[in-house]
Amino acid sequence: MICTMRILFIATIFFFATLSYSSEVFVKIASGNNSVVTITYKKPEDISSADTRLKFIAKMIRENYFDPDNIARDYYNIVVKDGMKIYNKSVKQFEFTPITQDRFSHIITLYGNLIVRREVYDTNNNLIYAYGYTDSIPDIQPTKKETKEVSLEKEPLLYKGFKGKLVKKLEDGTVHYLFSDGLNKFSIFIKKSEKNSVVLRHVIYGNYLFSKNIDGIQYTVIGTIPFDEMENFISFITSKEKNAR
Amino acid sequence: MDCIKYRKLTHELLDNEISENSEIELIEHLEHCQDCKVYMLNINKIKLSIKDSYAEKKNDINLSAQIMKKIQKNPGAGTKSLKLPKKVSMVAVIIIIFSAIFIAKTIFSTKQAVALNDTDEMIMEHLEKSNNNDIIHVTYAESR
Repeated sequence: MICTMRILFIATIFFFATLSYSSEVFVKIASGNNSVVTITYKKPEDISSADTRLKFIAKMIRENYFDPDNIARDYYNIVVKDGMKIYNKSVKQFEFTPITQDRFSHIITLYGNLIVRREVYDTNNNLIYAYGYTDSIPDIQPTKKETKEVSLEKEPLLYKGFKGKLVKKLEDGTVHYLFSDGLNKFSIFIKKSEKNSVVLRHVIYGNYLFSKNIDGIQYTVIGTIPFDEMENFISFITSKEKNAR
Repeated sequence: MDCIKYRKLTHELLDNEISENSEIELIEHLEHCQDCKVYMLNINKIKLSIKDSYAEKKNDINLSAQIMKKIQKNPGAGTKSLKLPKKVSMVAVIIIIFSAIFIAKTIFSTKQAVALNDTDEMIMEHLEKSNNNDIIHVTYAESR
């Protein structure tokens, strides 16, 4: 009798101890050559990948919170599927398809504001990245902090529904802007470079990358928009700079 | 017994070491003594043959002319030829060409790899700054 009680006690402790870590997640990341890397873990520290970059990316690419009302709706066709159940939890699925092929599609399954599953596809319907819970949905609800964002630019930067913010500006002229429409995001890095580098187009770590040198300045765009759009954006930026002079 | 004396003189005569008086005395003796005469002839023969043999074995100091003659006769006789069979040469050329292509490819891919490594930092920065988890509160429901 005492022995049975002891076993039950230990089992209960074990159950509650593991409860908060019972939700395993998966992350799928596309890389070059049509390859997709899949990682599953309960905590980011559990990722047993020898590639530390992959570990960092798996942690960074995954977001918990999504607000479907906070996106540039004018640029997407939105389909909502309600009344779905996953792992005994009522969820809602949102399908965002761009009206013009200037950004990527997203299929997001939400439990409240918690992202249960997310899949991102490029304009050729290739999976770029995906993540989600594999066995159960944890009892957590993310809420957005009230933060006061200080803009370093006087005028807000806008480009086809993407709001831009200056992330970094260095003395040597290196600049990093981050643009987001609430769903798709991309960064542009502007750096002086006299090197005659080739035009780069790569799918890397779940993002497209486009880099081009124009008149001694290297423009690199990274994010979830197609290459043509990245090149158009660079033209937009360079023409803006010329007008500003 | 006198012959022993004259045989000694014979040697001196052949070595040009005899005195005039002894030479006269020897010659007078050789006129009478057949044995000494024969002895002298034999010794002289021996000495002459020795002289001849030395004359034949005398070395020619001027060797360069002989060597040059030999070289002119057989110009390639002494050198080792590096001619490889045709097939081996072709294989070697093919290997060199493929090695050059491989090296060129490696250099180009290394350049590309370096270029990608420069942008790795940008990718990490983009992911870090675009992630919204740092502005999100996560509240845990009480465990049931």
